[in-house]
Amino acid sequence: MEQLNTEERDPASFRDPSGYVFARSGEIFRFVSSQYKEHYEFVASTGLLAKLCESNLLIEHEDVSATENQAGAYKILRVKKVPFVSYPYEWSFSQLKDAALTTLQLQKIAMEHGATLKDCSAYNIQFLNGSPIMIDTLSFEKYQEEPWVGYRQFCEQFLAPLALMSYSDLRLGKLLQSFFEGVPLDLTMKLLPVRANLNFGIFSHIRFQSFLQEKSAGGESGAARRLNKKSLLALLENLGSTIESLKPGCTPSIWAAYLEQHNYTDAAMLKKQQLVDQFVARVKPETVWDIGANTGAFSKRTAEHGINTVAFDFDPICVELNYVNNSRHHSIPLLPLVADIASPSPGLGWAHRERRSLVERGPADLVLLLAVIHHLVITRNIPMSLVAEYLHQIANALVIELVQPADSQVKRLLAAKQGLTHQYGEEEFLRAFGRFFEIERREMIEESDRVLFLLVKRK
Amino acid sequence: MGKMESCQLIAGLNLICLLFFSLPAYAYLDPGTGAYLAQIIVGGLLALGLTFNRFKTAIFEAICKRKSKKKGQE
Repeated sequence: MEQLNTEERDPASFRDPSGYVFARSGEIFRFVSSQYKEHYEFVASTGLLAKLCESNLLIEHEDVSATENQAGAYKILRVKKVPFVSYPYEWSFSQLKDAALTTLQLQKIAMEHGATLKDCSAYNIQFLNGSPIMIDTLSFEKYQEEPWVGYRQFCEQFLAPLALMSYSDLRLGKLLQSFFEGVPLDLTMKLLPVRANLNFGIFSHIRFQSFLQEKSAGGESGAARRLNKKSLLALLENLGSTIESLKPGCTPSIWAAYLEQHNYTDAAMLKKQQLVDQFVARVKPETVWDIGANTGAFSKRTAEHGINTVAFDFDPICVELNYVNNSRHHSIPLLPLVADIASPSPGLGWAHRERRSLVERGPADLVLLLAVIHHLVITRNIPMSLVAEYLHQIANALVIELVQPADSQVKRLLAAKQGLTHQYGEEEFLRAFGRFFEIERREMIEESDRVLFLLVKRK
Repeated sequence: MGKMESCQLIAGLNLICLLFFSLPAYAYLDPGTGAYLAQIIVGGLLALGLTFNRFKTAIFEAICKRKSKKKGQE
């Protein structure tokens, strides 16, 4: 296989010897190695790839081997670019659930065409306009009546975290960040309540599999045995019904009802919406990151204008509500994600480069930071200067709502800190942000102690 | 041999194969021996259950048909 310039080759694409992803002139390509030729020809000949693309289950791709040829390549495919690559540890419960059901659907359709998924990585699924889609064209191979190679990976990367989020706590979805290749099944059993064993699917696919894994440790890995198609289909059916039956678990959230409990008057909220719309229209961004998006009231507005919008919030309930109410099946470019701006997703995996940090996935044309900065400075104790420095790395322009110290919410936060806080106020804000951004607009939100700023990165 | 009987036989053979035969598998992903065993046992049981359900339904339907035929003749 030809070694590409490391700047071109996607550092996350090296595990599967069938090929890899590379970028060139802003476009994404997939190198298909001759090792995969037999499977590719078979899968393509069955019409599987075409059918999956038509059904929006597989990312669009086209064979450009004639114009983009590379030494050692069997084929070069140009692949549609995903506007923002997200990871399973950033998804809400229903996003992970939809991704799991899509994976099972892909496997069933593949089997109808005499093929199978040779792996079952949750990282092969991305979200495009509110729907999960498979991005790895090379994940299919000829089906032989054997057990499913991706079964364990499916259970560790989908079923186990979903069961934990459903039976224990939604916040356990973040375990996928620590257990990068999937939550170990023995650990899952320790964390699940006893009542989870009453669910046949959880019992058989997690507890029983974990038991057998332990008993067969040290045995010949991947010993092949026959499994007829009917049994495998019954297994897939049961995995599907088990996942369908899981509901988001009870998790305390003080933020999910924020829109009903805030201290804006109706006029102030309307004015804020109008100003944000005006500022967005002035910047004309292609990408917007709404940080501290809550249930997505503002990010939904930008996405409805066709702007690729990522809505981050650290509260999994807010993200769940945003996904279910505004994104799922809405066909708008809105991607809600669970992420804490005070501790953003790091670079993970081999050499920290398999999964990119938030900074590496930016910068966004425009970042919305609406009524968040007082929480960062006062509640999280991050000095204003550091907030400005970080935002400079991830944003080309900023819309910031600064809640003044006279505001009732800020007074409450300051009182709780008993004076032990970093400097907070408009003066400090202008000093910190002025180093990195030019102030384009400053507008007071009427009937409130809040100011809305439009800042543009200094050149 | 009927279709259902052959399904049962295949499921039974799966279990026998599980106990007596093993060959190396070739995949870039390590599927895990426990995962293979779990699939064969759980998948086999589920397939048996499905077959049993279909068999049960077929018998009930046959009985119902016979009853309604008898009623019609009366």
